[in-house]
Amino acid sequence: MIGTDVLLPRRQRLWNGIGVLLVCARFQMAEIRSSWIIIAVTVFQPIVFLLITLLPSADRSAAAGTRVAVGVALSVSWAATAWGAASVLRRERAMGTLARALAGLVDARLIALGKGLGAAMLSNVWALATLAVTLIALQQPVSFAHPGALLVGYVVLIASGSAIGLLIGSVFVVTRYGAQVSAFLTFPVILLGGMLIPSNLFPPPLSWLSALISLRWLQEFLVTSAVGSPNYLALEVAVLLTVAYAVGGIWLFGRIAQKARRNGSLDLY
Amino acid sequence: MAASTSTEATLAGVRRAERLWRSRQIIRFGFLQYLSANPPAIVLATIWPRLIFQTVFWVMLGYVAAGSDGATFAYVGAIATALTYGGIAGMSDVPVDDKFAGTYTRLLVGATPPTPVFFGRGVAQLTASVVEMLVCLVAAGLVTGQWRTMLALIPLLPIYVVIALSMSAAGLACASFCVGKRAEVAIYNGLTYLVILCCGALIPPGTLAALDVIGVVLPVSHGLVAVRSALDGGPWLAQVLLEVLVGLGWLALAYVLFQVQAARSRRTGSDSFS
Repeated sequence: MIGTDVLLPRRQRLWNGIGVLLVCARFQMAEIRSSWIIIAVTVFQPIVFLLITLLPSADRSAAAGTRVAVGVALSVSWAATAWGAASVLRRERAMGTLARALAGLVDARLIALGKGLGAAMLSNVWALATLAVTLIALQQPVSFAHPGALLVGYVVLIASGSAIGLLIGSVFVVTRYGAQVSAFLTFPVILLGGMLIPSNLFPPPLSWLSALISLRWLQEFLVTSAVGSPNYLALEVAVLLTVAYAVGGIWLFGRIAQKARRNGSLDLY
Repeated sequence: MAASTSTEATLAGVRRAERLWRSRQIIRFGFLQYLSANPPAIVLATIWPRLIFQTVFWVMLGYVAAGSDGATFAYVGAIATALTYGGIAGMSDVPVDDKFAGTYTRLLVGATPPTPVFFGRGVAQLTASVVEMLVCLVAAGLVTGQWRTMLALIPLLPIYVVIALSMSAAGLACASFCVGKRAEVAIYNGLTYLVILCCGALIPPGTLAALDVIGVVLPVSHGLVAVRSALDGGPWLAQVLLEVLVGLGWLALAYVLFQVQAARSRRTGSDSFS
């Protein structure tokens, strides 16, 4: 999986890696722009979630609106991550380039990570634009007390999405039913991540599970940053979980891809 | 003369028997196609859990928005929205599978025209959607503590089946839109979200007039009014008939659109669906 880059000096390898990451991110953004699924996830879904959450609610204050808006933004970000990661390798398989991507000179994890990064960046921007327009149309006030902290939270969100994308991408290397698997993952995480449903409503085992989802902590950090005093402890937990996802994703993807290459079974999926 | 009439009657009988055989084969193929794309292990491990989580999510969102009454309201509606997975998204895959496999040309020159083929294959998706709805009714009802409402809904299941039929009719019409475009994902997701938003499943009717106006022509809306009214001991038949009417409207639209698409493909040679 390392390729011939191992012969280059460490700094050169780092720059090459960043270059591959950015090129793949750019490719994925170009591909997403021509894909209709992104419209479904980043345009239809935020509008529907926002209306379903806000309209029946009696509390339409700025604080409540902010909590809902952040919850919807994170839910949509997660759905886009799951679908984005799914589409990355599904497209490779459909085009017959999966085996080449996984057996090429460039580390396949950089390709998957870069594509996940591109998907996460573009889908989050589209989702935020949709949310802004819908909130304005509904005349729903929201708070932006600490814009800098919100930006930091979003950078961690995109990093987290890219790392999780690598984990989900691993599934696509071993099964042809990856689309069903990624679709299955959408609602459990939205439900247990506490983005729209407070996690204190869950029984203890589920609330512990909820604590392992970075989006739950990002929700807390983004909401507290938007309404007043940012909870940096929540941000730190989210960063730690993101690092754990990335390490897990790099290990799992590498291991699964290596096994598939060794068995020569890539074209079977 | 008598011999000729007897021969015609025999021929008509043979043709009828052949049509019946073809219909059974088409429906059977639909089930085989469904099982090939969704083997039992995948249905049990991903599709059903996903729909259960989705239903539980809507119920809990109802609870967060409006307490226990909100949860019950959302539960009754969320069961119906579970039908969108097989009835709209799954149904759209019926012609799209031919699109990807490049087999639409064969359907165009086949003895049975594409429209009845798609209608017949859709039976599998309709059946799957009803099974998925029942799974959500029981599992989400137990998980969210809505078992009293669940038991009260059991006698009303025939109304949900009517909703499933009208949903599948709308799904077929949606599928026919997917034939001529490369935007099937956006088209069926668009209709799915429109149904979830406008049919009064999760947002009470009367909250936003625009949603109610759109909901009048969508599946689920009238059926759910009937279910909620029946739960309160009120009249329900008129709304069920309206739901049937909406379903027939969508079915007619699906038929016309499939016919138009097939005629256009024969005329222009656009067999790969543009």
